[in-house]
Amino acid sequence: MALILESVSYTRGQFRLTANGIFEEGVHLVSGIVGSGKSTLAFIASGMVLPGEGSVTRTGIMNSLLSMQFPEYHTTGITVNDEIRSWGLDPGTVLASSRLSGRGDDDVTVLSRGELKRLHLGCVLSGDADLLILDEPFSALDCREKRVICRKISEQDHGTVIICTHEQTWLPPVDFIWEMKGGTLVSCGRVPEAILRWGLAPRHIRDLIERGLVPGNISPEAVMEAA
Amino acid sequence: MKDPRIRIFVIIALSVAAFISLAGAALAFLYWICLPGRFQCIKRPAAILFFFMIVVVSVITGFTTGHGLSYFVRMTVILLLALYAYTAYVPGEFFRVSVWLFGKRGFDPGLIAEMSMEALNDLEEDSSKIRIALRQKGVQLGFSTLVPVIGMFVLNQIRRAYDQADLLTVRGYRNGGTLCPEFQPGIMDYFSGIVAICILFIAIFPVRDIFILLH
Repeated sequence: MALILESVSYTRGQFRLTANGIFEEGVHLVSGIVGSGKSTLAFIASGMVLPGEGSVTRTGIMNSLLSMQFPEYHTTGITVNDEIRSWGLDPGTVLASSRLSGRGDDDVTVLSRGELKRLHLGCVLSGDADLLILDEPFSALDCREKRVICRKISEQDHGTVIICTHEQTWLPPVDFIWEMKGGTLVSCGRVPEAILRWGLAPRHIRDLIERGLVPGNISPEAVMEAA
Repeated sequence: MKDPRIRIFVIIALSVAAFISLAGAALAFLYWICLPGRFQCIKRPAAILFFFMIVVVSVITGFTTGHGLSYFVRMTVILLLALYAYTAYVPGEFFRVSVWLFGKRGFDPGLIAEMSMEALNDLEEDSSKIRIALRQKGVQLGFSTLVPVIGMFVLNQIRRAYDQADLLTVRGYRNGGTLCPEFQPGIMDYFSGIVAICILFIAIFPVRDIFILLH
């Protein structure tokens, strides 16, 4: 199971994105500053936007799902229950996992951005997509919710998960690290070796490396253990 | 056309020319053909929607007044010009032109115009993202999905309006302000403007009228 980006390029106005790489089964982190092209890469990888040049090939991937940064875009139900059902899921399970129990009959428009994001991620992470692309999954969430989402991502037991984010602290354990640098996708390799090549590594991880301590992974727990 | 003042003038002049006569519409269409990026602007999904609306109104006009074809030609040219104006727009242009035209009084109308253009861009962006989301769910846009989708469009705009209001307040905006717009028109800008004036003149005063006067 793999997603292969071959000589991919995409131009919009002054911005140009180029990408080459193979996303194997496992959890991938694509890090980069705001405006570096992470979201554009997510759209191209999901097949929702066609690249100007190059090809995006999928092997063994039967279904894929792109979770956009703003959960409002995904909303097609009038009530919370309608919205969960529109994903083909059971409301009871998703409401409980999203900590929205008892709010199934609420209108989705009364949910705050954070609650809507929780609901959306609850639906997305309850699915069984072979390729799951999460664009800024931690936006609009507080630290506690970020931790919950990290745990849910680490519990994904099959397929390829690509996380495009500029989050620096609350990150799940990952298998591969990539960077977007000036519109170009750069592979740092497999974790833990990739952590040493990770140019955009968060300050607390860089401090550890400078002290000669390389964490086994990038999650807060792994970093704490190394420290 | 680099100078937004001349571009806006050209669009208005050609639209008026296309509206008042078929000859003006034909000349405005020829002008549009010569514009850079003309075909890029008609690829927008909204273009098809507006074109469809023109066709419907033209058919109704044709049946009721007999001038359906004339209406269709004139309005299609105006639509092409409007699409070009929207595509060629660079953020901040309306602000600068408004202040240049009306002085300090033009600050607030310019700001409103810029916010409106930004809102249009946001709507276009929202619409493409929502289409992607619907495609992923395998949901067709029907009555049952139309209500929440439109609701989200409206809510998104209200949220953005709140955010913009907060931002303006934080920056100390009450009303009015100062802006020193600068423009660098090129020789082609002047040439484009003169051609547009000629087309408007021909549309208002048909050529045969001028020869009659000379005779």
